[in-house]
Amino acid sequence: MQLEGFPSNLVDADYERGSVSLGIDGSVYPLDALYATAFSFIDRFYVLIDRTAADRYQVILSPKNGGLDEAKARTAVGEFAAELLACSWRQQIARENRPLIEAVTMRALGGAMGPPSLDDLANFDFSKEEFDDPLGIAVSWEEKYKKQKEGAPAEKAPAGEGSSS
Amino acid sequence: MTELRLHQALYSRPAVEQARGLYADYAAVDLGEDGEHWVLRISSDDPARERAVSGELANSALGITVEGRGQS
Repeated sequence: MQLEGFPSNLVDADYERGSVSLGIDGSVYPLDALYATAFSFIDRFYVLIDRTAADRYQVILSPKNGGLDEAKARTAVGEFAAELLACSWRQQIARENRPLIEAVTMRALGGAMGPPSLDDLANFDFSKEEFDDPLGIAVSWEEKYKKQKEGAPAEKAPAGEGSSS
Repeated sequence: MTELRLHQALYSRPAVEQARGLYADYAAVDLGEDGEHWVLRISSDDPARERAVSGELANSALGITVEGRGQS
């Protein structure tokens, strides 16, 4: 039986059997997205997926509790279609950003492994590392307050800096 | 008797067999093949139980298949 608001060639409701079926185009919605969507419905529905052609699937939904009327059938089909679209979109985003996600994850895991060892520090080439130092914090005291030229007094160090008690 | 047809390309055999084992105590479940489908024949004295076992078995087979694909 045709369901109002949905294409008759894609959606069919059988109120006597208490089920509604939905045709899925496999070239539009990935199979993994279909699995994920179907899995999310098994708490409220009995879900059956069938393959009707090379790239076409059929999903049959039957509510676990209570019968099926037109309103429930429309809600079920609408929610399933919306979730299937969301799952497909999420998978596409993950697929397109996989290298970035992996790089960020590896850096996060690397940071969680703790501070570098003495060997790591000894092998690290600080001269090649570029980083911003607007406050001159990374500059050594000697380099910061060294004499500018022969005979010229060095820049006076602030009181308390470099003094020993 | 209720017949449940699960497409072999969508439901793995281990998942179907595992799901069948889960509900063996609740109804008689026979497993066979017909072309591209696994065919499960569920029998019980209670029609409501037959429907429930059939539906839950299908859901379980789906869930186990999805877990096997690493998606759940």
